[in-house]
Order: sequence, then structure tokens, then C-alpha cells
Amino acid sequence: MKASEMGITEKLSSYCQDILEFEVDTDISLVSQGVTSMKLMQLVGKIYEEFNVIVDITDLMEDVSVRTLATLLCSETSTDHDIEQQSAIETPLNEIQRTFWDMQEYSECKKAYNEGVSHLVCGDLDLDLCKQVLIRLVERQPELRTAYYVSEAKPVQRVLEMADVQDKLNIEFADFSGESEPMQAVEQAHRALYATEFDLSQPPNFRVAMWRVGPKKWVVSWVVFHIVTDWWAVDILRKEAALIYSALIKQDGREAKLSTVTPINYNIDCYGERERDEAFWQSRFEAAPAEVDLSTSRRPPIKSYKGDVHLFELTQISYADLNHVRETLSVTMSSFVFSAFNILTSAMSDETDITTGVPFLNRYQPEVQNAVGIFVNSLPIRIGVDKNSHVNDFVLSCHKELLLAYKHGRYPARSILSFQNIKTKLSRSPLYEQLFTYYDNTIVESEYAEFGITVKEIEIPRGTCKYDIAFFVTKQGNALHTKIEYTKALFSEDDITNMVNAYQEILVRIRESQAQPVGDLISDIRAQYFLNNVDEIEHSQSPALSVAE
Amino acid sequence: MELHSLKYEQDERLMRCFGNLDKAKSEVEFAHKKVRYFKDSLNLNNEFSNSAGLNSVPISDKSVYRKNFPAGILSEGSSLKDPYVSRLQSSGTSGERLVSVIHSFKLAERMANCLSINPAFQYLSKVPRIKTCRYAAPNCSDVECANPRSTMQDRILADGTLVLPVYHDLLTTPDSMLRMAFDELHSYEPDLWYVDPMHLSILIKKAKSEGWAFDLDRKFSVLLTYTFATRALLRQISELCAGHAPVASVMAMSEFGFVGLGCEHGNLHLNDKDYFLEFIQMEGTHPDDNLWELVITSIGDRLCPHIRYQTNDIYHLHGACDCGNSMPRVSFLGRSKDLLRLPSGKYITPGSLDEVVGAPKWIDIYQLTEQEVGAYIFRFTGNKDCFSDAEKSQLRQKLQALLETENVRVDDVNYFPFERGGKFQLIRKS
Repeated sequence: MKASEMGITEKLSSYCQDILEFEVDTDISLVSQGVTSMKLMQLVGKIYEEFNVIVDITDLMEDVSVRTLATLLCSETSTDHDIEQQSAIETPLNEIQRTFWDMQEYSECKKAYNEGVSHLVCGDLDLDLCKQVLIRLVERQPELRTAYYVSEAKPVQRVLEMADVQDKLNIEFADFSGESEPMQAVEQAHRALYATEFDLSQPPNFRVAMWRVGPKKWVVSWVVFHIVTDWWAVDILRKEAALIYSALIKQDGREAKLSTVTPINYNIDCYGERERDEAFWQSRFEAAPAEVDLSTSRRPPIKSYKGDVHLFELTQISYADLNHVRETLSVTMSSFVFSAFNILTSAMSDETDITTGVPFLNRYQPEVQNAVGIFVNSLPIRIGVDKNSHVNDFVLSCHKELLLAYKHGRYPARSILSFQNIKTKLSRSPLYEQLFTYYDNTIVESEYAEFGITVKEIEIPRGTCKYDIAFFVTKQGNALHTKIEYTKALFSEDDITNMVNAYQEILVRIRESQAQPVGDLISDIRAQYFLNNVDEIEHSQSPALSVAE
Repeated sequence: MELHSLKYEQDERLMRCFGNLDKAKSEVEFAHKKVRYFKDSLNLNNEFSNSAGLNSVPISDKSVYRKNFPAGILSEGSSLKDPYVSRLQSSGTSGERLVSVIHSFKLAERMANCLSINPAFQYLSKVPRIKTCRYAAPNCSDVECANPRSTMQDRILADGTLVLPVYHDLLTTPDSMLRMAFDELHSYEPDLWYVDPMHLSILIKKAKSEGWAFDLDRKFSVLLTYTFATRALLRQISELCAGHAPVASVMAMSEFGFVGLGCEHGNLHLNDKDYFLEFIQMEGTHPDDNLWELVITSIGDRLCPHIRYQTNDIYHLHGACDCGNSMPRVSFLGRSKDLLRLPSGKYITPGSLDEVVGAPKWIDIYQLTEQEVGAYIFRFTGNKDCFSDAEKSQLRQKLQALLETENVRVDDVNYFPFERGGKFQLIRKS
């Protein structure tokens, strides 16, 4: 017996004497010495008080002796226990999480950072199974049951046990199938869903709603506060949900094939090349970025987050057209469409110093590829528009700048805000007010013939917008679509339509000639679309898609 | 004889405190360091360190524990899945339910300390595994108790307690369920009857009328809890148990487990070893009224400490007890919501009402209803053979004096409404 165990045995014997009021034999079962369950429990309490360890003797009740208690106690105080305790403790939020934590300061802002996705599901959906799927997902993904709160004046996070959240996991059901316009009712409910202000200390920090819109037809919406996860996780959850649902129906154990997800180590602020990355971003923001205003409307003194969304198909160009051009220029499609967006913003704002937010995935560690969590780092890409350069050079320079930014993309954008010359204002974000994203085939439409279910991702207005403009370009087959989220205080629906038309025109003009000077293209677009040339605007409008489409 | 206690003021109201202040302060410091809600809400400044009480710490209540359950009120590193974590639901089914979590070894410790108050119950600490039968308003969690088709096995809880079957509205419980309760109370052979006195009195009455004989030869004891034990109820229970089984009132709360126990003289003592007890003078009363609200701070609870927890229970404080136990002697007067306030400002508590009513043989159950300010109906049921108009008239006069009005009706009835959750209110407003 180790010395430590002997010492513990002695201590336990003395506790027994205090509680039981007689001297016990350390090697004989306490129960056989007349110790009652109440007294045993008192002993467990005393051990907890003295050693801060709960000795679980539930299964040994009849056989437990002082000696076995001492052995148990020694093993409980070993390294394994320490590790277990560590995993249950709180860890500080990293810089990326802090970005979203800070949103709480202003309730409208916080609501705007609710993210999510909606699907139209047709077929024989088993609602009880859906609830079970939700529970399994939360069980698998620790981030979905994480609490965020302040501890010792610092924001921290802690993954809760499943038992701590299970009672709160609900799917909210409503039946709109009797309404004359079910999708209108859905839109209203959807906006209300996004208006949720989550109490981050009380997970789950997401809501799931299922709205019946017709016979065997449901809209399923998931809204989550951004601190929990980034968009990457939507795909993870979608795939896992389908697999779990199928496994539950077939009882084939396929769920077991899912890789285990462990709580994420968010300590990514400290990594080897942080200093090098900081130097890069310092070089980009030596001078404060110009304030780019894409709207001529007066900016509200306090930033507004009330927004709307419009979807358009770019009918005058195809993906194949642009792909040919971008191959010639040896750039990626995302760099190519991003370059066009910079020309657009320069034309709209008459500014040559353009900073745009571009989401960077930032999932370096292999173990987080299947984890729900927040890694995305929206990088401020600063482009100097040289009006004398030719379009091909400009596209190439945008591409290079993007690649450089990605190379240094682990550096949290929030830290850039602390650079000396970056000033904050109530009316706008300090680095940029337009966000650009290119997605390749993200719209999901799946058929699960075995269960007679089809699932299609749909876009429903949220009523919020994080930036003046969030401009999404997506490839769907050979077509290019745009989704524009915009601040209603700055733009009308017509403004947005005009903007998309201008963007399409830029792409068309680049497709036709990459040798033209950038300055000429900017001037033409500005004159044609943004200097009140109403006739031409009307002439070249793209049809706006409705929400249902 | 005066009890030794701390005295100070809270919001200009007098306070009396019992227990170990240093341990209570450690509990507050622990909660401040380890429990999120208290981390965020407490500011432990110099005033706290230097004060002779806890009065600089805000009072918490049920809503704090309900709203922040579980992450906000569990201590860091602990989880509901830890061994020995007991989940207790507040009784009844009305209103918002409160789920409390306690380490079962803390429950055992508190129970052991409370049982030490009454020597007649101390044998229980020597019973290898106490078998308990509970007969009281059913909890939501064990709603099978209100289902006449449930089996005994359906109603045995994880800790081995058998919950006897009963309807929420006690007086509408069908005969078959009363018989089932009676039979199970015997076949389970419990060491402890943990009962609502009202429920037990109904069973006793039914057994008497049907000729069912209680087996009183087996060793058991009776703890009365849940609702106020009136003298009339105690009389009926005492008639059955005297000379056979010890009977005492226990003060227990789902948030804490055992808080106090009646001693061999029938006086309630509250446990000041496991709790720091603060009695705050009821608002609008004079110290001579001796009406105190109890606020409890747990001691040594490393799972879910309760800090200055408002119980909403009203007590009289008394001097030392002849039993010699040093734990504070009190009388439970009822819940603060069960109190009536007369136009004169005087409070009528279930305790003060019960003192006037007493335990005449013709009253088994009674209830006072305030129809409107200054107008009351006193309803009772009992043995009609013992009934006399003179006694009824005498009682009416006493009630008129107590309630400071002529407008008091005394009615003999067959039924009393219970709260939806199954609790009985001795004093209610219509």
C-alpha cells in the first residue's frame, strides 16, 4: 500500500469514529459492522468535504470497507480525475468568439448576428424522430450545449453535460397549412425567430422551428447565435441529421460511424506565426481605411441592423462564360467575382481605397472539420483601385491580395480593431460596411427516396442585416445567383436591383474585354447606374426572384 | 429564556440569526467564486467581510434558482450527472415547478442532524436502509399516484420511497384508492410514514368507518409535513398512534430536504448546523407580534449552495425548550401567502387561527375563507355526534374576536376545495 493510501485510511478511520461513534475494522465491510446507509452517506459527505472528491460507492454499498474507500479515494484523486475536472471547467473566449460576445452590448446588433438556415421538407416526416435527431446532434456536438458567461470579469465558456440541457431541447411546431398564404405566416414567424435574444449563459443558444405549410410539407428553420458556430457547421449538421434520422428509422447503427466530436480547444489566438501575421495586417492598416459609402442616403447616427434580402439570377452571364475568363487570367472564381465587386463598390462610392469583409474559413485543425463551432474570420481585404491599370492586372492584384490575406488569415480580425489608427463610431463598423462571399453550389436539394422525403434549402427574410450590404454570389449549376442582404435605412429595393444590374454589367464587360482600363469601366458603370440615369436602369433590369422561388 | 442569537437590522426590520456565521460567510464566498449566478450578482466588498451578519448580501428566491437552473446555479465542475445528485421537484402541480438538486449525502447529513432533535426518532439512524411511504399531494413527476390503475412498482421512487396513490383533490379520492393506500402502507412495511397530516387523517377516518385495522405492532414512526398540522389533525393522528409510534412534525423543503423537526415536547426546532437561519421581522409588524420570515443559507453545499434563500415561511420565535436541544425553537405559522391582514393591520396566520379553533372532537378539518374584507366563512367537517350548538356559537364568538368583525359564518360542510396541485389552504380568499 502506498504511503498516501495509508494516510487516507487513517483519516477515514477517524471520520468513521466521529460519525459512527465506534471504532471500525478497516478491512471489514462497514455494513456488516452495522453501519447504516444513512451513516455511509454521511461518510461520503465528509469525504467530499475534506477531499473535494465524490466517492461513488453505489455499487459497492454492501461490501465497502474503509480500505476500499481509501483505494477508491486514491484513484479518484489521480491524474485521470484531474483531466476530467479540467474538461468540465470554463475556458476563456478567444478573439473570434469575443467578436460575437461583444455584440451583446447592443440588442439590435445581437439579433442581427443570429444565423441560420431554412429548408422546405416534403414527405412523411416523423416529428418524434426529428426531436430525437435534435437530441443526438446536441449530444454529439459539444458546442451546441456550451454556456458563455462572465467569470472574474472575463467572458468564458463551458460545455455543459447533456443532462443539463436536455430538458430545454425543443422543436417549436406551428401549423400554417390552414392559412390562405402559409408562406406569409412563415415569413412572419421566421422574422420573430431571428428576433430572439439568446441568454448566452443558458444553452441551447439556438432554436428549431417546424412550420407546417401544407399536406406533408414543412418549413424547418434553425436559428443560432453566431458565437456558437459558423456557416460551415450547417453542412455538418445537415449531413449528420440525415444520417441519424436514417439510422433511427432503419435501426442499422449507421450513426456509430460518425466520428467523435470532442470539445474544441479554442486557444487558437496563440499560434506560432501570430507575430508575422500581425505585421502583415499592420502593413495593410498603417493608415485608417477610407469610409466607403455605397448609398447616397444619409447614414443613421447609430448603425441600423434592420434589413431585408433579395435574390437575383444573373441572367446575362453563365458560370461557364466566367470560368473561361478566369482560367485565362489564372485566378480562382472567388477572386474573379470579388474583383468585379471591388469595381462595383468603387463605382458606387467614387472611392479608390476599398476595404471589404471576406469570410475566411479558418479551420486548420483536422479534428474540427466535423465540429460545430466558430472559426470563421472575416478578413478586411483592402484593395487600392488603380484606375490606370487594366482589368486583367486589377483582377490579378485582387487575387494576390486575397491569397496573402488568407495566408495570414488566422490573425483574428478583432485584433486589427486595436491597431492605433482604427477608430470606432456608432454609425458604422470601423473597417468595412460591405461583405462579399462567393459560394460554390451551396444550395441544397436532396431527395431521400427510401423515406419519401425531399429537402430543399430556401431563403426566407430575417429582417436583419449585419452590414450596409452583404453580397453573396453563388453558383447553381451553370447559373450564377446573387443574394443581397441590405440595410433598409440606406437602400431601397430599387437601389439593390440597380446594384445587381451594375454588377452583372461589370461581369459582362470583363468577359468581353480584360484589356480595358479599370478607370474607364468604373466611370462607365458609375455614369450608367449611379448618376440618376433612370432610363437605362429600367432598360437593363434583371428580374428579381421572389422568396418562394 | 432568551435564545442566543445574532441580532441586527435589514432594511430597518429586525433580524435574528442562528448558526455559524463564519461558515455562512464561507458559503457565500464559495458561491461567489464558483457559481455563475452569484459570481455575476454578488459584490463582496469590505462591508461583507466586516459585517456581523449577511445583511449586505442580497436575498435570493425561488425565481433565481428556477431561472438559472442548471448552469447558472450549479457550482463549477459539477454536473447533474455526478454521482449522488438528487433532483427534487417542488410538490403540487400548480404554478411553476422548481427543480432542486442536492447531493444525497447532504440530504442524509441534514436528516441525521434533524433526527437528533427528537430521541424517539434516533433509532432511524440505526435502520440499515430506511423504507419510507409517502402519502401527500402527488408531484407531477410521480403523477401515477393519481392514477387508480398504477401499481405499487410504478410508484416506487429511485430512493426506495413508495408513493401511495391519491387524487390531487384529496376529498374526491375514490374508496378503491383509499383501500389501495391502506393496503400498501401495510404490505410495504415502511419504517417511516412521511405524510401530509390531512391525507393521513382522511385515511384514518376511512379506516375507522370501514373497520380496517391498522397494524400498529410493527415498529414505525410518523413524520408530518407538507401542510400545516392543525390541532384537530394532530388529535386524530395521535388517537391512532399514541403508544405505538412516535409522531412529529418535520419542516422539509424540496430545496433543502430536512430543515427542522418537532422535539419530544412537540416543539419545532430548526437545524442550525446545516443552515444559517435568519429570521426577518415581517414587514408592517411590531417586534411584539413575533412574526418572522425565514431566510436560509446552506452550509457546506458544494453542488448548489443556497444563499439567503427566502422561504416565504412565517414563524414565531420562542425561548429555549425544556427538551434541552440548543437548536432554535420556533412555531411554524404558515406561508406568507396564506396570511390574512385585517383592516387594523393585524395578521391572521394559520397558527393563530388554529390556536383559537383548538381540537374539539367535532372538528376534523376546517378552513377559513375571506369572502371580502371583514366577511368570513368558517367551514368545518367532523363527527356530527359530538357536535353542539353551544360549542359552535362559542367558536363563532372566538373567531369574531380574532377576526375583529361580527360577520363570521360557521358552516358544517362535507367538502373542501383543494388547490389544483393538491395542497390544502387553511386560510383562503374567495
